[in-house]
Amino acid sequence: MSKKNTSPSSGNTETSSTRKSREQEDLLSLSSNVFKVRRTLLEQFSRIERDMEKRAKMNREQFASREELNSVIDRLHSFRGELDSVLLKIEERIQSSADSFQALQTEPTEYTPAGGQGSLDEIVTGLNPFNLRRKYHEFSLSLRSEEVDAFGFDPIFDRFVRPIFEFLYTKYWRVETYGISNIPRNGACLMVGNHSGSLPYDATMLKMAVLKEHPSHREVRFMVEDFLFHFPFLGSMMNRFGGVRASQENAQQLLQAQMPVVVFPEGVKGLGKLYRDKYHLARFGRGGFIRLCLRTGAPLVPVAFIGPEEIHPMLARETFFASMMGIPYVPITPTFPWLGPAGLIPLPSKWFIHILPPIDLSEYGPEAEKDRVLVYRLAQRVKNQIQEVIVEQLKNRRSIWFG
Amino acid sequence: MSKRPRKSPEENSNPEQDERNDELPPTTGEVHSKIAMTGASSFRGHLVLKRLAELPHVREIHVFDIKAPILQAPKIIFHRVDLTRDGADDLIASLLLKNDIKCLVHGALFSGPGRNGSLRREVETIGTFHILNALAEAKLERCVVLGDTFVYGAHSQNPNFISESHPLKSAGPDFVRARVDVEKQLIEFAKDYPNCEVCTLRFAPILGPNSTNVRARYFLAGIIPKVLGYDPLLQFIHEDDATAAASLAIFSNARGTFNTVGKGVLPLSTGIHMSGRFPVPVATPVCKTVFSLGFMMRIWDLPSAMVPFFQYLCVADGHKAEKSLGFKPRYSSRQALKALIEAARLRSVGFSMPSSALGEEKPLQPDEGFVRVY
Repeated sequence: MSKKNTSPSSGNTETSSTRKSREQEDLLSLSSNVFKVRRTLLEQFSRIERDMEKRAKMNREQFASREELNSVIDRLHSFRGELDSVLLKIEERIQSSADSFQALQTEPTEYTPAGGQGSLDEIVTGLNPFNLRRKYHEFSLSLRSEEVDAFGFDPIFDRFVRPIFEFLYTKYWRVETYGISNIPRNGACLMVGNHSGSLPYDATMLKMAVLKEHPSHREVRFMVEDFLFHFPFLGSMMNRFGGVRASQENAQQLLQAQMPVVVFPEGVKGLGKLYRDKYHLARFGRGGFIRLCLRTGAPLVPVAFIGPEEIHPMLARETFFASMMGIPYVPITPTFPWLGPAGLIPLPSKWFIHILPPIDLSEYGPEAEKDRVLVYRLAQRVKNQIQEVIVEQLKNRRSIWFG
Repeated sequence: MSKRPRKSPEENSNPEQDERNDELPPTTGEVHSKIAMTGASSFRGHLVLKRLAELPHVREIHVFDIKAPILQAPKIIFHRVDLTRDGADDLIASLLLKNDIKCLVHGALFSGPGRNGSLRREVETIGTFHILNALAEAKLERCVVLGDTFVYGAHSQNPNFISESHPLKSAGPDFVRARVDVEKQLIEFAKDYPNCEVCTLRFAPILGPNSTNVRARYFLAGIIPKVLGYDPLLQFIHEDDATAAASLAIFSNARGTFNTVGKGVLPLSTGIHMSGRFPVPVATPVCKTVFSLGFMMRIWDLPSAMVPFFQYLCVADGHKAEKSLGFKPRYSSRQALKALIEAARLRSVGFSMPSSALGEEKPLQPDEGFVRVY
């Protein structure tokens, strides 16, 4: 059945082609019949198997042991395999002869292979409400890593949300980072910055900067204020891409694990800064970050953020309803309560991140952390250094939006 | 006096004996051949009892309980003692003195809030009081207490990893407060009676093929309640690891408190997705009401006191146990949960899995691993 048969005289071609197409149709119908038989057999067998398992489960059929049940199922399997192979051979033979017929014909045939049926089945099982739950669990698990880090960092989730932050970093706030080489290539370091912007956007942008521009692409952990960390959804999500609840113990453990850590000593005072107080640094805590550095010997890297203070220009702080909800304040911005959730979209200011040269505090030794005067003085020094850089940069800034 | 059956100077030269000695706990503690035990009918106590009964150098195990342990062996000697009754301390002390016992494992502590709160409180606080009195009277050398990490409580101020020196807060739900009371009694006793080595193990929630505690029932329930928007990190310990830790602690001379926890942590939501059950998120304001309603209607075994454990961290740091006790967990928290879920799935088809290795180094053969239920 090749070109030799088709080449003879042109007078016979019409009759032979009609005959052949009829033959082919017969073959195709036969093949589809065989396919149907095979499928029904398979269905029957799987039904029997399910039934047996169910009976074993309900203890209706008394199998003496697991071996007996296994042997019955094995026999079933082997019989099914034999039947299946025989039928498959027949089907293949018919299919091959039909295919050789098809090769002769130029027009496409109406025959739809088994794939169509299968995909329909898949759609039907996909819509099955009992299957939807499994699909939901599978989908959710596909967004998570097998093992999270000890502090809850999830690499797969981090990769999943990274495009959003990449967009914010490159397109939305057009962040310019200076002095990235001041962050050490390895080992612990404590980055101290000015905090602002209602949500820790500044920390995530610094994380993106280190990830994108630092030569060793380090993973940065940032400390999140208590009330944000225990805010529904927000805290657990930040936890999964590198946020850790702000506390001395956590920061110390992270530094001892040789990780770069971002802290904002201003805390809630910095986050809830009013627009008229922008770029005026609040009190730098009680110098806990200095004590951390002295204890662990990690270098301190001051960081100055220009820009995040304008993303949520806070006109006032509402505290009455906030205390009812258990949070320190509700921000009142030109957009927030008035436009609803759309008011939470940050404004596109132009950002600069200035990473200053590291300060090595190891010369004082770990004993110095008990020296209250020294700790407070060092904290003041770091604050003044950051403040000076901010003032210097603001002098040269022409526009909030274009830098 | 108790002997060390396998440690004599002549035998130490023999390499084979050395290898076998390695199987024994590597610490320098007294190898007690007579051990007393309370709470042997609990899941954790049962595992420890089974492990002790397997050890060749343990000759007698005296069990003080109101109910005979399920495990029957010639080594196991049962004494009926009600820890909540007056005079339990005298009875236990006389039994300890009569049988010349020098080591006691106190396991009569509950793994979570039960439905009978007053009984739980009595057994935990008064039971420990009686046990400590008996220890003082009988001048025991060693006492190992099987505690839990939930004594730290789930507070929003908890650090990610709580160390043993973290101050215990006598605040929060009743089942936590009762245990804080127990721990305070133990610390006071250890201070007043320095001749008795008190070693407290704080276990993370024990999960494994056979565990039936609150956490295990939580992950195997038809619907799983959780707090909307909260996804704390959880920590578990596999039951084999728990048994290994307990037997390590019994035969060492370590004093003080040790967190015995599994490797790593996992988010609550990952656990729920792994179990494949139906999660029901409950908003924070109505959370306590819904949890206690479900508890009253017996839909789940989680009273409203458990709510903070689904909101905030209660994860302990296990480095001290690794350093001073030599306990290294073999399973991670995720593996412990996975073992629980897999065993539950097998059980629904009719097969049960034993607590596999029971602290031994050799894993079970595949055909040993399955036992028919019916």
